[in-house]
Amino acid sequence: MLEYMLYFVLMRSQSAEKMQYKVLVDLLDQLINSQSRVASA
Amino acid sequence: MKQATTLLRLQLQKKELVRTNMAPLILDDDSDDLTKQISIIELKQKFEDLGILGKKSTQLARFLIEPPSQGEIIYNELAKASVSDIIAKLQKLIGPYHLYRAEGTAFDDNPHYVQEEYMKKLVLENFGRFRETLIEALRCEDYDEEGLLEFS
Repeated sequence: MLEYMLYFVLMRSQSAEKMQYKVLVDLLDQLINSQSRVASA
Repeated sequence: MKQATTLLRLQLQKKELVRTNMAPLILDDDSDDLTKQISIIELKQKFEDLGILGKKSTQLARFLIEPPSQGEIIYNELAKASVSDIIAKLQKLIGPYHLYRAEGTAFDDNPHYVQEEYMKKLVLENFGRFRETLIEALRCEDYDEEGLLEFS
């Protein structure tokens, strides 16, 4: 799973020297929000 | 060596190269000749292009090209090995890995692939409750506060 998280960031970054970790936080927020919506539906 | 190996695996995943077809990672775009001889200095440059910088690229290239020996080896950056021999060592070094596919794409039943949706579900299960801790840990390594981390 950690490998996937690295892959997710690398795929969305300019290079391995500039890993934009914010995309990981955005993913987590998106997943948490989706879960909340499902729970409240 | 472990970080360099992890980065190579990530680059293979990014380029969607399965374990049995790693050669395009180190061959030029217009070549598929597995008998081609590659020198340490050429392989080092390939690795640097893939983001493995400094001594690590040299160490990895030497490991993959120099013959196994218990004695001292005199470094010769022009020493060569065939692509097939390099790939055989690289396969052992990297080990098994999966590629990732977005849900609904053409290769859903391909055993080389794992659905991204499944991996995202695992991320949520394992990190959903620890969002703040994760952010704090990432920021601790972001010394310039640019939102960027080096893979090193």
